[in-house]
Amino acid sequence: MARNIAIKVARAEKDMTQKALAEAVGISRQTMNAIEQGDYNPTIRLCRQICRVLGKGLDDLFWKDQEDDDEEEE
Amino acid sequence: MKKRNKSNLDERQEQRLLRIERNGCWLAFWGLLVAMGVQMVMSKGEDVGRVAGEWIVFMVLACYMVWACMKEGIWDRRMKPDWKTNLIASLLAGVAMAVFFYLITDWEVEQKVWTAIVSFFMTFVSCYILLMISALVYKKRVEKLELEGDEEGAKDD
Repeated sequence: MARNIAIKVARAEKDMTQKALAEAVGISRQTMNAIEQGDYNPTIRLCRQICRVLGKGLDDLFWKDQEDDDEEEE
Repeated sequence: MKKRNKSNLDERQEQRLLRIERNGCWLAFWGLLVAMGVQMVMSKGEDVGRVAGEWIVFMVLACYMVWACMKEGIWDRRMKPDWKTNLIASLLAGVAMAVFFYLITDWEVEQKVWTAIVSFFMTFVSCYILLMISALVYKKRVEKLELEGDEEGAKDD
């Protein structure tokens, strides 16, 4: 899975550390790191919580085009 | 109803814990089977009562897993509940039991071979019958779950 740069950028815009975002969402820092690294695929419920905290939409943080998915599969 | 204590784990940690527990469960399952097999081979099939404890735990574990899977309408990740797959699985179980009984008996070679042949057929037939019955029960359960799903869907519409 590819890294989720969008979350990292949105977090930086809000001047939040991984730990602060993890605490705001109610998960561990390791899980937040795994999401950003693309090692963990969060549930839609957790995606919504992250979006709410960062003030972004699901499309902004988690949407990927078909081409991106195809590239990952290759 | 009283609410259960809030979990200390987030969803990723929960998934990891489930994976660890799953591995632990299969380790216990195969470990018990190997331990029973080794004990019986070492004692040449005598004093079977020594493995009674392991056998009870093993059977409880196996029965629970069959019951839980049936309840959820789950058969297997890869294998299908058809006669062909059941036949192959039963043949394999029969061969495994034949080898096992050949090893644990301490008689003349001819007697050992006959014991192996008899145990092969007994295991093969009983396994095949049990698998076919289980497949039938599984299919009925899936049909029931599908019907329940349809009713739920109709209510929502």
